[in-house]
Amino acid sequence: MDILHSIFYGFSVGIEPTNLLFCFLGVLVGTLIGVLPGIGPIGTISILLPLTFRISPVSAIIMLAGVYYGSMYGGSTTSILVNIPGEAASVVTCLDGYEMAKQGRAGPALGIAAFGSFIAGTLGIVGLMFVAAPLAELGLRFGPPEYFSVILFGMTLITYLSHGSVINALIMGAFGIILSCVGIDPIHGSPRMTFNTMQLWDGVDLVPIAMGLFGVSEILINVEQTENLEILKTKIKSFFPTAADWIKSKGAILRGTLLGFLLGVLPGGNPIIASFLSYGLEKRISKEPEKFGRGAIEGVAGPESANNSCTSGAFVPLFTLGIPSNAAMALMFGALLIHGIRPGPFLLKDHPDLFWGVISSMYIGNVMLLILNLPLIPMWVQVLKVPRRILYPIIILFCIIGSYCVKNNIFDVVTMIIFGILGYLFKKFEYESAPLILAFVLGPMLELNLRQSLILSNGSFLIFFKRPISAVIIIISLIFIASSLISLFLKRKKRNIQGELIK
Amino acid sequence: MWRKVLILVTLLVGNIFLIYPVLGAEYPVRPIEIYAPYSAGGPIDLMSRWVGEIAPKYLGQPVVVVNKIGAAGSAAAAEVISSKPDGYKLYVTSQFFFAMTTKTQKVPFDPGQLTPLANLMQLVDGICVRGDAPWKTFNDLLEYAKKNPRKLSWAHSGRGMVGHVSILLLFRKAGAETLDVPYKGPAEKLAALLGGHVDAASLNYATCADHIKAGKVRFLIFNTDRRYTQYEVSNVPTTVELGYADVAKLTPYIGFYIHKDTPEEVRRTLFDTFKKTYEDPAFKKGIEKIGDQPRFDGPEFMKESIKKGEEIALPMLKELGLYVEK
Repeated sequence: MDILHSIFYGFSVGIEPTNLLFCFLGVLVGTLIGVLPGIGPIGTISILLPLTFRISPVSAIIMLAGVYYGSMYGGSTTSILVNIPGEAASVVTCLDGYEMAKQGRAGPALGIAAFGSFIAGTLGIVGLMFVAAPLAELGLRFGPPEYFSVILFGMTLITYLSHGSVINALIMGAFGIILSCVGIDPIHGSPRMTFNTMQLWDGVDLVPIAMGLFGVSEILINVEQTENLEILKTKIKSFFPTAADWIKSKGAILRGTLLGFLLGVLPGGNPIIASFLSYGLEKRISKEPEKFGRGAIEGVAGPESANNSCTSGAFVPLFTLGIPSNAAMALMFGALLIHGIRPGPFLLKDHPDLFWGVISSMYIGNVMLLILNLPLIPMWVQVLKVPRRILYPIIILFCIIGSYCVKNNIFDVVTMIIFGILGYLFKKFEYESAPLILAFVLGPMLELNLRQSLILSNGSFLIFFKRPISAVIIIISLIFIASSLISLFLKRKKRNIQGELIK
Repeated sequence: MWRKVLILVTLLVGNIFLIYPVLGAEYPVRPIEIYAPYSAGGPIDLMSRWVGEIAPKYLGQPVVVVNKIGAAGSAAAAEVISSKPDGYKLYVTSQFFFAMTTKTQKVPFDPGQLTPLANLMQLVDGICVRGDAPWKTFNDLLEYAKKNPRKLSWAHSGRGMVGHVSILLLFRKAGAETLDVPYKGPAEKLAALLGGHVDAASLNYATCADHIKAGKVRFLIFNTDRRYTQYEVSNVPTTVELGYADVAKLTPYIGFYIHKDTPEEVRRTLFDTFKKTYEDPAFKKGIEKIGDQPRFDGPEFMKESIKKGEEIALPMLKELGLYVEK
């Protein structure tokens, strides 16, 4: 009953005209930057940060939060339509979303992405309301060994990100890990592979790599084809998901929601990891895994839901413990500090208007986003009809802006171009880039947590098994790996037997 | 066509005449930029933004913060050094950028090109433990550490950073061998401490304030020369009190640095502005909101603190294997 009172109170704060305005501004800006390749929520939030000094803290967080989860709605648009991710968390949506678009099903893909995001976002807020405090405490129990096990589990899904050769996927994964090592060693402080340049001290950044591998390379590949692309001239069959689509996606949406939310709660989890893991998980447990990469709607529904619920989950440690779980939350932390509000265990008590006001505005924001995005689907689909010679230079422009905005450094733009060329070569030789991105994102976390664990255990590997959470997750990972190997083995055996019978 | 060309030329020439009044005008005639080497939201960034709110009153021009992150501060420093020394670009950091960071990496510029202007804030690190930990004072902790070498684990933000070197030095001087565990930042350290994964952590008051109120975190010692007078931590001793004055030389003072060739009058103007900003009552309130300690010093003190920092830190850096010869 208490919670009900609080929710009503929250809505009374959330529907104040100023807050409604800021909510709308936030989600609008969020959607826009989500759609535009390159510029992402973190860059945008840091640009908007100074503007928030002049407005009330509740309005400030409402707007910034709107930018954050709004960008997760918009990111899928360009992924599906032109195979170029709007931002890093939508990279996996390219895999199946674009295939669906090629089959004339761009509308349903966009639709299920929007609906999935809405459902996941809303359920995530419910989670934030009811289980925030206990979950946050649970999240604290995740120390280096537990993180290592979770990341290891994530790594086992790397090969599920590609539908081609497994060996190629592993090679790309290894390349991703090597790339992630460039920079300063996290434990020792010494430079690795920096070639004595200042620019490489912080390593290579994800945004230029993702924009290059997925954006620029896609354009380069298309530019090669001189014939008119008939593919997208096929009739756009429908604008919204069919009943069959819903049946297939409902599981993916729910699983993605849960996975994303839990990952958001863990300090260090971010929507990128959530979307990748959701895709891998969906493919792993699907009864028709070969459909993935050829237009399986679960490959869009799951990741898009996961990245949205992750944004709700990310607020849990911030609001209950005052610990920001990723870069975007750290910016919100700063925004609150400037207003003299310190997020932490007393936030709910001292500033209920902030906590419940923001939660209610997230409901409102998600509804706004659904209304914003759905009717726009027919319009977005028309983007496919824009002549490539106009569309592609605009996309490259935004990719350049986005890469530059990471650190205000031209070096990142150069990186993007290099990876664009690399990505083009990868596509030519049938190496897929998604495993590289996942390995690149997970690699540093894997290494840091492994070495921290070994420091804590004075060198003993047993620490991973002595702690219950870590042990359980590692065993699950081993079971996954084992079962894949067994099914591979059985398939080979069946083929051999059939070969024998034919003879 | 010629008419258009004539109009264009007139406009261009006319614009040049607009600059003339500006050429003779007094500094500053356009906004000042502060290059902050860390991302938005952190204490250095917040302090700079706060200065940006208050200083324009005394300076007459806006003061904006540009986050140029990268290479542990070198990206922003390089930007300021490679620009014209006209006083419109400032660099904000602690003296340890000069005393330590530029000694652990090969930097493509000469840090001597930057000269200090004024400090406005000091960061205070300390050792904290969980509220239910068995150690009530710093000496309890030391006793435990001395009796159990390499068993006391504590979290820090990175090898070779001042938060690591200062606490390591403290333990060394006390004769204790500990297990230091690197983490990525204050949020991760706090999470590790609260979750029971490390015994102690090198943190600052601001990050833990609410948890101290809730009794979940306790500070045992602060590395500074004056106690906090407010908050719940006024009973926490300082390193100077407990006899480790040397370690207190490793306190970061956050201040502004400018190109060495900037004209003397410009530097005077900026120094006066910062002094007035510091004395503005709103400034102190703002710093306290962020949770750190306001403190004003001039260029002489800053140069001294760089030297003192080097004296203490370099032997530690050499021993950790992080020192890089020029």
